[in-house]
Amino acid sequence: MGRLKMITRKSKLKITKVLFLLPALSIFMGVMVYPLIFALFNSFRKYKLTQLTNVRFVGFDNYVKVLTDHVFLEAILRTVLLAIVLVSVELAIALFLAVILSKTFRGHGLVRSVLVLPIAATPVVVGLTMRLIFDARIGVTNYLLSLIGISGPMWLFDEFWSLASIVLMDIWQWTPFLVIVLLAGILSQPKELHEVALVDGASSFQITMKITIPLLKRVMGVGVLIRSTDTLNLFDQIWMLTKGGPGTATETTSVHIYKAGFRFFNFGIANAMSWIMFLIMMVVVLVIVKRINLLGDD
Amino acid sequence: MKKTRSVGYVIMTIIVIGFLIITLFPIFWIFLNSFKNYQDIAFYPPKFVFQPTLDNYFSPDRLTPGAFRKSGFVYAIRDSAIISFFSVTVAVFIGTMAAYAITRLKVGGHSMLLVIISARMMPGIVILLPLYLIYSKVGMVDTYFGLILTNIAFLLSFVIWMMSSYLKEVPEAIEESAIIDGCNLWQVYFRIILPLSTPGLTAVGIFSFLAAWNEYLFASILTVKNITTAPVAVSQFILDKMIPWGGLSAASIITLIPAFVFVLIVQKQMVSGLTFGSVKG
Repeated sequence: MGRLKMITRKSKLKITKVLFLLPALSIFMGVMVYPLIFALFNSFRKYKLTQLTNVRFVGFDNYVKVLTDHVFLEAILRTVLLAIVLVSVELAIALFLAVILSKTFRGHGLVRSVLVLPIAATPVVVGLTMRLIFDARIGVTNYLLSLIGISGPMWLFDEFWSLASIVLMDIWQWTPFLVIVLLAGILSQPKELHEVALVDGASSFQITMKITIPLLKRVMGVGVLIRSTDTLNLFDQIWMLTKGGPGTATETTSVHIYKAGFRFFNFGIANAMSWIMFLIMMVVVLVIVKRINLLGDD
Repeated sequence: MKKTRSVGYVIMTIIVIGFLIITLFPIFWIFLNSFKNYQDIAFYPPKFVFQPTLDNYFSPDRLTPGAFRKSGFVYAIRDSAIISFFSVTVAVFIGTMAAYAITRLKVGGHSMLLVIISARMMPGIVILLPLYLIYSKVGMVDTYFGLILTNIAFLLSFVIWMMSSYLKEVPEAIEESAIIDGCNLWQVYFRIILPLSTPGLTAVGIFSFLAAWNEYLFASILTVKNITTAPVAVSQFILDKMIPWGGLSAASIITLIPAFVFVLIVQKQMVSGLTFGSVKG
C-alpha cells in the first residue's frame, strides 16, 4: 500500500469515527451546552418576559440580587438539607432491608417485582396520590393514625408537616431503588470471606458489620451519587404535592427557579439562580465521583 | 440455638412483608379510588369496601368526565406514545453509535465519561428556561419535534453509558476478523455490533421509555394546546375550585400501566440500568 493511500485511509477512518459520534454530539451541544451558555449570557441581563423592550446588560446585578434574596438562599439550604436527610435515611433503611432480604428470601423475584413499581411510577402521579393520602380531612394517613389514637397533623397546610410529607413521599418512592441496588451488591459478593469468618467463629452480625457492609462501599457510593443528584433536582412530585407551599415552606431550588421563570417571567434572575444551582450540582458530582472512584481504572 | 434463629427469621420476615405492604399501599389506594364514586372518595373514614363503579373511566359527565371521555386526556396518551416512541428510537440509535465510538474507537477518552455523567445529573430546570426562549424564537414550542429533541438530549447520556458497558462485552476478535475480510467500520457496526447487542438495546430502550413517558418538567412548559403528554394531562384534572379525584385516579392508573408493564419486563436489568452498569444485577 502506498504511503499516500495509507494516509488517506487513516484520515478517512478518523472521519468515520467522528461521524459515529456526530449525531449525539450535535444534539448534546444544541440542546444542552448551547442553552447552558445562553442561560449564562441572560443571567447578566435584565430580562423580563413582561418587559421585552427593556432588556439590557446589568453586569452582576442579578447575582447580587439573588445571593441576597433570603427566599432563594433558604430554598438552596432546604434542598441541600432535604437531600442529606433523604439520602441518609433511605440509605440506612435500604441497607437494613437489603441485609435482611439477603438472609431470608431465597427467591427474590416476587420481592423485586413489588420494589420496581414505585421506581417506575410517574412522579406526577406519585405527587397527586400523596396529596390525597395526606389530605388532612379525608386522607387515609390521618385515619390510620386515628386508629392508634393519634390525632394527625394538618400535613399540607402546615409548614413543618408539608415538608415531612415530602420526606415520606420520597422515602416511599426511592428506598426500594436503593434496596434493589444494595441487594444486588450483597448477592454478588464472594462467599469465601463470609465462610472463612464463619469458621473462625464470627457471629452473623459481626460478618455483616465487618465484611458485608465494608465490601458494599462502592455500590453504596453509586447509589448515593444518583440519589443525591436526583433529590437536589427534585421538582415534579413537590410541584404536584404542595406547589412549594404553604408560602414558600417546601420550595426546592428547582421549584423556586420554575416560579421565578414561569410565574414571574423574570428570566434574568431565574437564569442567575440556574447557574448557581448548576455550579453546586457540578461540585457535588465531582466530589462524589472522585470519592467513589466511579471512573476508576479497575 | 435453632429456636432463636427461627424467631429471628420470623421477625425478619414480618419486617420484609411490612415493607412490601407499605410499598404497595399508595398504588393500591389510587387503584381503589379509581373505582369509587365521588361520594365514597370524599367519605371519612376512608372506605375500603364500597360499591365499585366504572364512572371514573367512562362517565360522559361534562364537569367531571371519566378519563377515557376527557378528550384532552385521550389525546395526551396518544401524544405521549408518539413522543416516547420517537425519542427512544432516535436516542437509542444515535446513542449506541456514540457509545461504539467512545468504547471501541477510543474517541474522547476519560473526560468524555465525566461529561456523560454530568449530563445525566444536569438539572432540567437549568436547561428549560433558556430552551424555552430558543424554542419560542424558532417556533418549536408546542411541537412534537421540540419535545422529542429535548427528550433525546436527556436520554442520550443514559443510553451512551449503558450501551458502553454492553459493547465492552462484545469480543473484539469478531470485529477484527470482519475488518480483515474487508468490511468497513459502518458494515462492522450495522452487521455485527448491532445484532450482537440486541438484548442490551431492548433493556436500554425500555428504561429510556420509562423516562420519556414519565417526563413532566419540560412537557409542562413546552406543550401548550396542540400537544400534551400524559403526566401533563393528569395534572390538568385539577380544577380551580376542586379536585375531581375519581377521574384523576383513573387517569393516574391508565398512565401508570404502560410504565409498570415495561418495568416488570426489564426488572432483572434494573440495577445495572439505573446505576451506570457499575452494579451488576
